[in-house]
Amino acid sequence: MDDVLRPGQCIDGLRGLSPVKPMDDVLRQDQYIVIELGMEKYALKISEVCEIINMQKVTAVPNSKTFLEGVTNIRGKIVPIVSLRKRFQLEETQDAHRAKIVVVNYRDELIGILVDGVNQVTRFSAIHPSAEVVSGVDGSYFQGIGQAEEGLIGILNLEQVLAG
Amino acid sequence: MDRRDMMGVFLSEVENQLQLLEREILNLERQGESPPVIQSLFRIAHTLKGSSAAMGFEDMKRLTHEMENVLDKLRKQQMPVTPQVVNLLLQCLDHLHGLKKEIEQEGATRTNVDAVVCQLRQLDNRLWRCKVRLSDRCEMKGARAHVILNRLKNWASVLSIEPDPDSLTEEAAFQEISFILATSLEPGTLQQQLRELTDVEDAEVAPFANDSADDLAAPAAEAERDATPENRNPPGNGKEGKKIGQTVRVDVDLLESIMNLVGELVIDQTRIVQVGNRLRDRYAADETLEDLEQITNRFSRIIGELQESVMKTRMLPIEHLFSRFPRMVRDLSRTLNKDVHLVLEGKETELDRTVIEEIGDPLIHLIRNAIDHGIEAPEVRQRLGKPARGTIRITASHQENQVVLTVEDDGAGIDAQKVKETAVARQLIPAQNADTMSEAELLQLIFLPGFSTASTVSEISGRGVGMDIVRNHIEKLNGLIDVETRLGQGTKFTIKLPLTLAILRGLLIRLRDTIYALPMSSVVEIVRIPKKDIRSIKGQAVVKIRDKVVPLIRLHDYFRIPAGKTNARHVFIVVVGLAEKRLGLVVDELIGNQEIVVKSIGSYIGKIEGVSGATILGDGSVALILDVTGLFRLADHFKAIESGNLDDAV
Repeated sequence: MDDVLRPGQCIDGLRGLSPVKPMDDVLRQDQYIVIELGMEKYALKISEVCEIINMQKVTAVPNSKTFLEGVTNIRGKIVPIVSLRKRFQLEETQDAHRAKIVVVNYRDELIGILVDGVNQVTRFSAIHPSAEVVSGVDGSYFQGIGQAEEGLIGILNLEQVLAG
Repeated sequence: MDRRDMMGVFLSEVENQLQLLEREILNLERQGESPPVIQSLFRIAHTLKGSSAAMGFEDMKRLTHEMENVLDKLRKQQMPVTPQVVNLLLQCLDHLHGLKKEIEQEGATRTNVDAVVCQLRQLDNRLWRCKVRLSDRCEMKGARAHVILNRLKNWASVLSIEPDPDSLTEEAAFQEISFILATSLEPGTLQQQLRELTDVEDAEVAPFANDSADDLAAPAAEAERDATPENRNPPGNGKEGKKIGQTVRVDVDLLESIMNLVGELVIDQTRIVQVGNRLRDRYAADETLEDLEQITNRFSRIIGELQESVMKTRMLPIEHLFSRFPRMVRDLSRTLNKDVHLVLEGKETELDRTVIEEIGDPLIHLIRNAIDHGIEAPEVRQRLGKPARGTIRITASHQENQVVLTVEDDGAGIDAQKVKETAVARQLIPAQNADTMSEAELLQLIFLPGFSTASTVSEISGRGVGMDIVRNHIEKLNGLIDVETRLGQGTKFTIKLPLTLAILRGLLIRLRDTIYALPMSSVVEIVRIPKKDIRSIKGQAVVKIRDKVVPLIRLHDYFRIPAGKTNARHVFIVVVGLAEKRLGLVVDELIGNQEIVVKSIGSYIGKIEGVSGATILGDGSVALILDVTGLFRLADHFKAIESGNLDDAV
């Protein structure tokens, strides 16, 4: 399947868009994938991401978690898809053609997180503790606020985002 | 062949022989001195001895050698078949199971077989009282007594000695030593041997009264057992491991992954056919398409055969499970003082190995229940004019795409009224509901959590966690359990299971724009009826199909699927069945039936009522598989909500 971006490919592909400047040696290890949700940007630690794929057909699962978009087939595996918009109680978007599924490993299961788009790979020069509310979203979903050139980006706390 | 291969062959042979052994020992117990049975037992012991010697498992060899000796004596009728012999042979069997398990897991044996070996040796010993009179000229009588004792130990086991040589002093004045011996030697020979010893003037040998022998033997045996404490609980006893195939040993994970790969192939093959059809619509005249069609046909056939063969590798005859039952029934009926005859039928019926593994516990539970609560005590049975010996019949057979297992006893049956009283008393159902329930409905109550009719909690069955767990187990396998009973005549449980869990025939239906799959095994019929035929009784939509009123449900409501606008005058109804219950599902479109590969939706999503798993369709999209048992529960639940008493919902 050529529409699938593996982590390696993904980083290399995006590196061209956003040249990475040398940082402190300590921070060099932590790379983050920046995802888009409407006007907002959030970050996920790259080590938590297995792969990023284009949006594909998702089958709804009735009577399940409110933020569960459904399930999809990734190379023969049934993978649950969680909608970050639904999780953050944002309105549904009409513009779905850029939508991506960020596949993460959560408690030994693959789970896809549906986002509006994947923006770039970045590193943060500093990470601040997260506030109670981060741009209108419950602060417990974040493990910190990363400071990058393009501004402050909330770093998602996967455990909190997926639990419940 | 290296040692590992040989080990595999050895273990599967041992497994094989041990199963035979168990069966024959039980035959021996039933039939008594039957030469063919003894002969076959002898052969088994001999085979085991040979192979364990070849592999260098000394303890196993020693044990089987002694068994062989005993069996040889039985064969030559030098010894009678007594319950003691049977019990001892069963004890040997447990030890052999233990040894085998240790070899399998650790490559060496740990279990101490000394005590059993010793018991085997003593089995045909007779007891003798020997009196040895020492000559007057004997100088050191104490030392002499020791010498005699040592000599005697070569031929016999000495149970008691009087006076005790350890307490003797050199000057002690005694002339006579008396021994009690257990030996297989003839008395004449024994006497002869004794007389030949130095300083022995005379020796007398007389049989020792048998009734007091137990008292003497018991402490001796006790002492021996104390010396080897690990022998009290031979490993491999009780919960024996799941049985494994007989000839080829394949890692289960490997089988699973092969099965998954074949599943992938099945899906892709369906896709190829679909693409082929689409191409033909577009380029009908192209000759290459004919080739493609031929290839896909061939491809389909090969994949079909591959799938079938892989399925077969996962199949085991149910004998693997059945062979555990005779021993269990024997032990259990002894503990409970009941006389039970076990009949096993259809043991060659093949089932998916995962099904066999999963169905073991529920079956054992049903059998225990049958012995404990079903079959009456022999006196009671005789009073009722039934044969004193109760019968439990377990059968397995294939019916179409299903395996049907039954567990039937000719015991007391289940009293529906008692069931009702218990259920009401335990507040499992409200009393007013209970009065309107039919007998069949009442019987279903035994499957509720927390139900148990036996007023005393026995060790064998029943802490009120029984039948609901049995049912859960079976439903987990997409199976059904049903009960029929006649008071005073017996109870019959029928379990229906799919042949395999991995692939099933599914009916694809569409609700709005989502496709769902229903297991074909629970679809009773499909009808198309005019909308105006749908009636409503007390708010419940129903339809009459061939004079039977079937309640209708719209899954759209349960699954929160927005209803689409339809101008159709007709609707499709899929009637699904669970035991004798029927439910009509209103569907928007029927897509067809096909083999579907069952996949789990994973633990993140968890259990969803009415959904048992998911499958991947030809176009690569995912369809949920509906679970009919769950749908019935959903329907009940919604009915309860609508009628306003949510508490009554099960």
